[in-house]
Amino acid sequence: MDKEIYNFTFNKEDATFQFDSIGPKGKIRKLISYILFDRMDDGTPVLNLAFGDLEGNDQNISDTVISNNPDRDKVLATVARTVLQIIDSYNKVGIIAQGSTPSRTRLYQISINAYKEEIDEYFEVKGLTDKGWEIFKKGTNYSSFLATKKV
Amino acid sequence: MKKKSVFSETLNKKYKAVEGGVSISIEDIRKSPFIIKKLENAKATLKKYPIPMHLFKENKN
Repeated sequence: MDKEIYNFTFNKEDATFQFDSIGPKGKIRKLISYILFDRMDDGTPVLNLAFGDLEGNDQNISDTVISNNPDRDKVLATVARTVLQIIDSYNKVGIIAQGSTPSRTRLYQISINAYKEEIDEYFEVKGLTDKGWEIFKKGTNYSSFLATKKV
Repeated sequence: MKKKSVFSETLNKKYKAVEGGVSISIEDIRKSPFIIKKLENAKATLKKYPIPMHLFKENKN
């Protein structure tokens, strides 16, 4: 994961990250928040990855806006970097990622595919199909993703 | 003192993260309709498709 990323700030206690995407359309403030919402059978916490734009004086969060800044790879690399940070902080944790639309989910899938070799160094990634969870395979379309740190 | 893991050391060698403020509070994040919907969707997904513990066990073998 040596790709270029945005500098970000984070609030460790709240597992929340923020950075500014910069392009021809201007500066778009991005928020990534990991919220505990479930536990696995062995007690491992499961966090939901929420990623969106901060709007309205940073009071609203949305991921339906198409910013069209030509920095998709840099943005996705930054999100991937925050996953590393969370897994480093929590150690034993599961992270669920789902896009709010099929095209957003597809973006997550493209990102995982792009970083597959590096991801495999640190993570186990599962993908969800209508038949259930399976070990992530390139070329299969998934509706959700689950990442855990390799033991 | 907590012993740093190899993962931690690799991460810190490769990337520098800046711990600092975020311009929205965690309370506002949790109240956000966007976040509420995301959590509802995630809960519904795990209710329908529980976390596959057997896949983790298979991977360890």
